Amino acid sequence: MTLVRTMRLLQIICVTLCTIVTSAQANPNHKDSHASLDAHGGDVAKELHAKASSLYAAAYQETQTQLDAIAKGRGARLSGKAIGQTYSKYREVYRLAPQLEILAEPSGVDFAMRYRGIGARQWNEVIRPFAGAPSSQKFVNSIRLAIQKQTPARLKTLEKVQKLVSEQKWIAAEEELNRLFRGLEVGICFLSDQEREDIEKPFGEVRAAIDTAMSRIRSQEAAQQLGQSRAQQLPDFLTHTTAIREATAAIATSGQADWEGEQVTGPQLVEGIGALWSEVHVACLRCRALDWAMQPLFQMAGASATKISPDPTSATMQQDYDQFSTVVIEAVIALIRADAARVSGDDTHRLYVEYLNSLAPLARQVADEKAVKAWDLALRQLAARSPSFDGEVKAYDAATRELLRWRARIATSIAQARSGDFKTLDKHLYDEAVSKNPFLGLFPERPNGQLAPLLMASVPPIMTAVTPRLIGQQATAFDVVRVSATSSSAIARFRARTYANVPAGLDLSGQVSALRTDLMVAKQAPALTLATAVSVHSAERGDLASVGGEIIGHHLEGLITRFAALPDAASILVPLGVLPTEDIQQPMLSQMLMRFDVKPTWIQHEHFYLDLPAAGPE
Amino acid sequence: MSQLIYCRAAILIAAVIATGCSKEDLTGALDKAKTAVSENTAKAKQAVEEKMEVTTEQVQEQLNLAGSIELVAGEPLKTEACYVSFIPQGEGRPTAFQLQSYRDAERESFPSVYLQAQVQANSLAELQDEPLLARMFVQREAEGPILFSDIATPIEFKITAIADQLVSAELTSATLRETTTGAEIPVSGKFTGLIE
Repeated sequence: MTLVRTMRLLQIICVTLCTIVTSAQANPNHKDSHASLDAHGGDVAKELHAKASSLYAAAYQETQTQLDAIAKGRGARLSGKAIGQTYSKYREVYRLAPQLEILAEPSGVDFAMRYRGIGARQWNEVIRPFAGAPSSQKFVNSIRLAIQKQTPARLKTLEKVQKLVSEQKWIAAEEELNRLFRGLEVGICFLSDQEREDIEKPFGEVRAAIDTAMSRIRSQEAAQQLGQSRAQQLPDFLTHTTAIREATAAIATSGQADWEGEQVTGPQLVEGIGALWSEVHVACLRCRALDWAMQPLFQMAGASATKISPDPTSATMQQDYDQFSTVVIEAVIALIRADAARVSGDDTHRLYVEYLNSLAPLARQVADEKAVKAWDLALRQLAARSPSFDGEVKAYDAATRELLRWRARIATSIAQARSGDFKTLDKHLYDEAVSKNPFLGLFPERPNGQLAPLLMASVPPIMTAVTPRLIGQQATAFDVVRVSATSSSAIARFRARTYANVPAGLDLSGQVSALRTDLMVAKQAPALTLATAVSVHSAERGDLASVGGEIIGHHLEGLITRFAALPDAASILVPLGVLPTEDIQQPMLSQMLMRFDVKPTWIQHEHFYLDLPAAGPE
Repeated sequence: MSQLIYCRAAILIAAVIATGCSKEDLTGALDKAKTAVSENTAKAKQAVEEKMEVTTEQVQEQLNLAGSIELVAGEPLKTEACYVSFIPQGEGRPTAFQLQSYRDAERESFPSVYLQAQVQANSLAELQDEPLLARMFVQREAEGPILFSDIATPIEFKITAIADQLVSAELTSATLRETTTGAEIPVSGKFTGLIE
C-alpha cells in the first residue's frame, strides 16, 4: 500500500508543483505587473477570465504604443480606427468585470479598476486629444455621418430590445444591446459628451432593466454553481470517522485492519489516517474559500441563504472539522494502546520504532502540541510492555532530552540575534504597500483596524510601485515545510496573508550529521523518542523553523482564489487541525495575499542554526 | 492549620444539626465530617513533608553539599549545584555522561551549565583520568546569550577524582561560542558533581 500510495502522491506532487509554479506565474508578479489575477472557478468563470485577460493585455499593449507615439509627437498619425478599437476592448473588459465579480472571482474587482485606471488614461490622453485635433476632423465627421445614417436601424434595434425586455427574454435582449453598443463604441468615443448622451439616452431604460435582471440571473447561477461546488467538496465526515473507528477496532482485535482495500498494521494505519486527514484538510480549506466567496450571495438571499448552502457562516464545517481532527488524534492514541495490549518482549521494540517512523512526519504537520504530547505518552505506555525496552527508552530520553533543549535554545538565540536586520514578510508587505497619498496600495493610509491587505486600486500601479521596494530586502519567513522528500522547493506556511517559496535541498549535511551523532542515531540505532525522531526526520527532510534571506520575487494572489483552487499536495500550506478564519464583515472579494520567493542566507532548524555559504559567481 | 480543620468540621456538624436531619442522616454526616478531618490531616501532613523535602534540597545546595561548578568564561561563573549522571544505552549506542547544574528542566536555575560526553565505558571508574570530549552549554541568565561548543570543536575535560557520591572533573581545553555575538571565548574551570 505504502509504495503505491507514495508513487501516486509523488505524481500528484509533481503536477501540483508545476501547477503552483505555473498558475502563480499567471498572477501579477515582480516580472509582470500587468498579469491578471488568477481564476479559481469552473468553465464559465475560466472562459470569462481568459477573454477579459486577453482583451486587457491587447488593450494595454496598444495603449502603450499610442502613448509612445504621442510622446514622440506623432499623435496625429495614429489611426482613429485603431484607437477606437482599443477603447472598445476596455469597454468589453468593463462589461465582463461584474460578471466575474458575481462568480466571486477577485480578478473581476481588478479588471473594473483597471478600466478606471489605464482605461481612463487612454480616454484622457489618447482619445480626447485625438478627437480634438484638427487633423482628425475629417475622420470624426465621417463617424458622425455614419452614426446619423444608422439612426433608423438603431431605433429598430431599440424597439427589438424593448420587445425582448417586455417578454423578459433577458439573455437575448442583453446580446442584442451589447452587439449594438460594441459597434457604436469604436466611433462615438470621438464625439462630444452631448452627442454621446443623445445617442445613449434612449437606451437608458432598457439598459437598466437588462442589467438588473441579468445581474439577478447570473447571481442565481453563481449561487447554484458555488453552492454545488461546495457541496461536492465537503468531506463526508461521518463515513471517514466510521472507517477510522472500524479500522482501529480491527487492529485492537487482530493487529491488522482493512484500509482502502489493503491489509495494514497499526503503524501503516497511522500513515493512512494521516493521509486521510490531509485530504479532509484540503477539502475544508477549499470549502472555507467558497464560503468566503458566497458571502455577497448569502447577503442578497437574506433568509433564503440556506438554499444556496446549508452552512452560510461556515460554523458547522468548522465544528465538524474540529471534531474530525480530534477523532484522528484520539484514533492514533487508541491504535498504539490497542497494539500495546497485544505485544510483549521483542515485538515491543519493533512495533515502537515502526510507530515512531509513522508518527514523526505526521507530528511535524500538526498544529496542536497537546496532540503530539498525548501520542508520546501512548508510545511510552507501549514501551512499558517490555521492562528491558522501557528501561532503554528511558535511558535514551535521559541522555537526549537536555541536549535537545539546549540545542533549541541556541538555535533560537542565534536566529533572534540575526533576525534583528530582517523584517518578517508581512511587515515588509505592510510597510511597502500601505497607501500614502496619492498612492493607493494594499492597506488604507489610516488603519481602520483592518490590517489585512486588500485591493484599493488596480493591480498594475500597485505592483509597479511595490516591486522595487520589495526586491532585495532582507526578510524572515517561518515554519518552512518541504513539499515532498525530494522536491526542489519548500513552503514557508501561510501566515498573516503571506507565504513563501524557499528552495529546498540546501546542504545541511554537516548539521544533520552532527545532530544524529548528538542523538546517538545510526543505521541500526534509530531515535527512540518522538521528540528525537521528529528532530532527525525534519532535519533530514529540510523542514525548518525559520529562514532569513533576500526577497527575490513576489506574486499577488486573491485570498479566495488561493484557497478555492488549492491543489491536494498544498495541504501543507496550513497546519493540520487549523482552518484560516477571516472577518466576513469585510468585502472578501478584494482580500489579497502575497506569495514571496526567498533566497535564504541562513536557516534555523528547531535544533540548529546554519549560515548558508554565499553563492559563487553565477 | 489544624485549628482550621476542626473549625471546618465543627461548622459542618453545626450545619447538619441546623437543617434538622433524621438520626440516620446525622450519623452519615458525622462520618463524612470524620473522614473530612482525617483526609485534611493527611493532606496537611503531606504538605509539611513536601515542604521539608524542598527545604532539604535547598539547604543542601546552599551548604554546597550538592556539588558545584566554577568556571571562568570571560567572567567567572559559579553554580550552586552539580549533578552527574552516567547513563548506559542500549546496544549500538555509547554511554552518556552528563554534568548539569540543575536536577531537571523544571528546577533549572541560573547560571545554568550542561555538559554531555558520549563514552565507551562500563563504569564511571573506567573514565577517571582519561581525556574526554564533550558538548558544553552555559547560560548566565534566563533568556540571555548562551555559550556553546561548536559541533566541530568539542571541549576536552578529565575526571580527576571519584569519591563516595562526588565526582570531580576539570576542563583541560575549552573554547565556547557566544550566540548573540559569535565571539569565541576560552573557558576553564572545574566541576564537583553529586552522582544521581
